[in-house]
Amino acid sequence: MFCEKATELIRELHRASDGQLPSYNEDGIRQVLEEMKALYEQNQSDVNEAKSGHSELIPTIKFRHCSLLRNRRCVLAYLYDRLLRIRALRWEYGSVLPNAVRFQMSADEVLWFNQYKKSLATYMRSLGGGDGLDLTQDIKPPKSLYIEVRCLKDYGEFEIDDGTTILLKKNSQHFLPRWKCEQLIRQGILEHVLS
Amino acid sequence: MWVKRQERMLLEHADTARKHTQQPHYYDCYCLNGIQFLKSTPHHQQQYGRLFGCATTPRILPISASYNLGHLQGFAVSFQAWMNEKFSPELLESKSEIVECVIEQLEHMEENLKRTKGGDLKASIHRMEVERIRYVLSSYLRSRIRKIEKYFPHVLEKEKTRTEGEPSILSPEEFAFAKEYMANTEAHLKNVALKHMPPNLQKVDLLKIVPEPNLDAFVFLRVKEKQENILVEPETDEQSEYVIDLDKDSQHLIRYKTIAPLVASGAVKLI
Repeated sequence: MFCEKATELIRELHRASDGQLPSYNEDGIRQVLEEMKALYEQNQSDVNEAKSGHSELIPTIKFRHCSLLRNRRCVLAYLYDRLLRIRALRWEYGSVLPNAVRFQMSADEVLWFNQYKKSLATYMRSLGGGDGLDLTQDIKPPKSLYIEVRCLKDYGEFEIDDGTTILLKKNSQHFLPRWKCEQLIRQGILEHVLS
Repeated sequence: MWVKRQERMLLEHADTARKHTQQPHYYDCYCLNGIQFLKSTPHHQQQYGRLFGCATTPRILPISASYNLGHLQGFAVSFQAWMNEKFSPELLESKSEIVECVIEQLEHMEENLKRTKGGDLKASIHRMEVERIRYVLSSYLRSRIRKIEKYFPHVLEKEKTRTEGEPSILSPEEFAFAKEYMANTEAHLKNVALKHMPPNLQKVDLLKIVPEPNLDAFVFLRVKEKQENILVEPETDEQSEYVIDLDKDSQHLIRYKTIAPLVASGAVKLI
């Protein structure tokens, strides 16, 4: 069956729940590309035949061409959707990705990610004077100035705005300015205690 | 509860202050560093309260009165720009002057806050205010970036076909970002897949494969200036077109395409 492999790629992404990045299926992509090559070659020879009078071949050629287009569409959709997921990771984790995620990406995707990181950083730096504005902060509307957080890992000393330092030890609870700990919460070091 | 108590303390404080000075008072409207912020219609207050989780809008005292009305209008306008951008399906015209003004203002306020002593009640409320404004600003820029990324070929195409004198929908920085994003994505697709495909399939028109903004999406809006004879195009073939009048302060649920020019001109606002 034509296009089966390509559909399988799409299904694979579809099965991975929202935002999850499954590992890059290089083998799948290669197989689809091979199928496309074979289809194309068959079509080439059939076109030559058809030109010399075998008009009964035309429907087959058309069918193969449709399969080619579908294959291309599936491959591009697969790649593009992965880019969107990788993009979301940049907003979630910041510019350094955890290793577990990095292993799921292909070399080209890492390249794309680095480029994207650079463009975004350039843009954010250009906002306002000085250091620019970090758009990945302030994701949720602020409801209060201070929030209660629980420490999930040993982090060490942490300085807050007025110059005092506190020790972030595992399982300790603190009442901290929200804008200081947003990043740490997303990195999984602190946990927002809702009560 | 805490906020309530804080508010009561501030009001008492305000009363004493009023007795001692002849400064104008802003206590019955939302006020920020001595200037009125969102000289609010009840609707605005409602929106603000819903967003930031305070049932009533806080009343606060000026820390310094060094801001002029221009800044204030900047905030109110940016609030509106933010809501429009958030609710419209397509990228709206760039409001870079407003963004700059708000950023400048934020920096100024943060400077002021640095000079206050720790533990000052007023300072902490102002700090909260800074946080809120920064949220609105970031959220506005974020939703723009998101739309640029989502519709990059269409955004760039629109920018290319723009006639001279027409305002740009992208700020120069956003334009640079969009161009880089497009080049980067195109290069990725080409290197990984397209390059290895049969020669007649290697060219792809990104305009065709990246979805367009859905201009037929329905949006809620409130009318700021009375409009007459708005032509509503038929949605399906069975319907015929008709005209409607939009009264001031009325609210509607309508297809975005119909009222897109009114959003751009500021005659209606999205809610």
